[in-house]
Amino acid sequence: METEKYLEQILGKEGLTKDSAEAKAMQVEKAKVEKAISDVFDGSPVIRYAGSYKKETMIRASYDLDIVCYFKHDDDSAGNNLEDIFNNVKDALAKQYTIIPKKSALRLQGENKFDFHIDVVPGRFVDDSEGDTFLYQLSGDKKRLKTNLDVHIGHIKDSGLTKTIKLVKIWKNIYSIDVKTFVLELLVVKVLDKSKDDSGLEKCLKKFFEELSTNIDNVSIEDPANSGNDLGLLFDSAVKSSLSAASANAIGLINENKWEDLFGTVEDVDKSYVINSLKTSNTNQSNSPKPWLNQ
Amino acid sequence: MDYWHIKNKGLFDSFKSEINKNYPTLFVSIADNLVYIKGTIRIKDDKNIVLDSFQIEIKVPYNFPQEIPEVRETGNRIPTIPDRHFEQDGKACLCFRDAIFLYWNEESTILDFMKKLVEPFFVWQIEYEVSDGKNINKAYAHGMDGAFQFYKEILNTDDIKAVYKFVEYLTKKKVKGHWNCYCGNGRKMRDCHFELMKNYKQKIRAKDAKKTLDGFNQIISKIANKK
Repeated sequence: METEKYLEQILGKEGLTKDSAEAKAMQVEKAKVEKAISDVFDGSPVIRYAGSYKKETMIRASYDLDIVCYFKHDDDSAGNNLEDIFNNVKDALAKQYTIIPKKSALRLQGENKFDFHIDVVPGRFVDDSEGDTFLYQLSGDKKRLKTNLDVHIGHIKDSGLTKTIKLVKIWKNIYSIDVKTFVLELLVVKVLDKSKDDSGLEKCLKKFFEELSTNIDNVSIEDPANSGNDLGLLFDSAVKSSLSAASANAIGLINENKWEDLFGTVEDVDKSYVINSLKTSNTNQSNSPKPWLNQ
Repeated sequence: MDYWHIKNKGLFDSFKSEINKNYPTLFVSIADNLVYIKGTIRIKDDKNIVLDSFQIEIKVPYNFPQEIPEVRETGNRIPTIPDRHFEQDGKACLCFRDAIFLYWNEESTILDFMKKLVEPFFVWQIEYEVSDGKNINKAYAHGMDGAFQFYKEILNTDDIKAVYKFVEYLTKKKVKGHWNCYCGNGRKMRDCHFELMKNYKQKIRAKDAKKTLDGFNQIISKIANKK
């Protein structure tokens, strides 16, 4: 099978669109979150999708519902400062969800276990233009972080590389690579620079993996919405080492044309085949060690 | 601390080579001086058809191969619940603790570990999923019940006293021929199950047997207290 066709089929299998059942489930949850917040705050903050849903880079194996909850710069209904806003939004959501505070986000856990994480990021717009936003940071040197959702989304969505990004996210997931998706997205856009998905996914992936495997120490990334946001901790030597090793492995597989080892097979085997194979194959030997649990 | 991959570069090279050659969807990396194997393990049948795959992380201890690596499933696919044989921290219980060294010794390679312990564990997981958990009898019961099961199996006995005595002997530095045989028939070890005892004594570590013996003693105390 031609590589481009294979990669497109993998995207068809593993990618998620806004029409998918998964996305629809997220839409239902977003409406619930929106109601929980607007029931409490008169000022009606702006509640929007963020993350991969908005960037159109969702993949089936790992997707989250990221929602921002931004208050107008002169709206004090949730508090006078960022910390109050963070805590008051947390309290508002705590009526319906169990909340796990993250660095700038509130992770929600409901009675029903979702297939995805729900993260709500409270913040306050810097001015009337409702672009730049200040977020509260629970940890780190600075308690306040300037960001801009539209800039972040545009940087990825308009990069012409959303298919490559999805494939790289599938690769990250398959190989359990310990790097933030935000960093990986920035790396794809930075490394591929003027390349686009249209110029060939195989070409884009080769260039990306080659650069990370051979030259990662010379690759720098910057938060497109805030050049002062230090990404050093997210892209430190441990992350670089892990990415470089995994990319070298990827290049080796590409050179041997072993694409299925990188992104998996287009079709999964049938359950009845698996059952039959387990009965007859040496895979399932009676002298194998038996699992146990120390309790 | 003497890290095995620094101390024995040749061993580390063959370790990487075995993983690369046999598991192209796994890769070896180092973080905080510890070696990790990460990626996807594909479980294949005799016809080389992939039955299923699991995202895993294997943390190799600093004193490998004296101690065996820890395995975790990282794809959030398998719930980390007792029935799936995962501890609360996500560590897979590949095998009954005392039995591990029946499949592993200090000469073993990472390939032995993968073939003898990791792959069978995930085959069991596939079987669990396709049979809706009906393969539970192919695993040991949790805790000391499973320990009894294991020892009953290898000794081919239902005699709990014999099992207890056998485990007690395993905890000793040396088993003497003039001791009464664990099986309780009144003969000396040397005239009874000495060879079998010596065989398992070589493989099952005294420190593991000690933990099992402690577990047995706790159960005995609980029963005695209830009475």
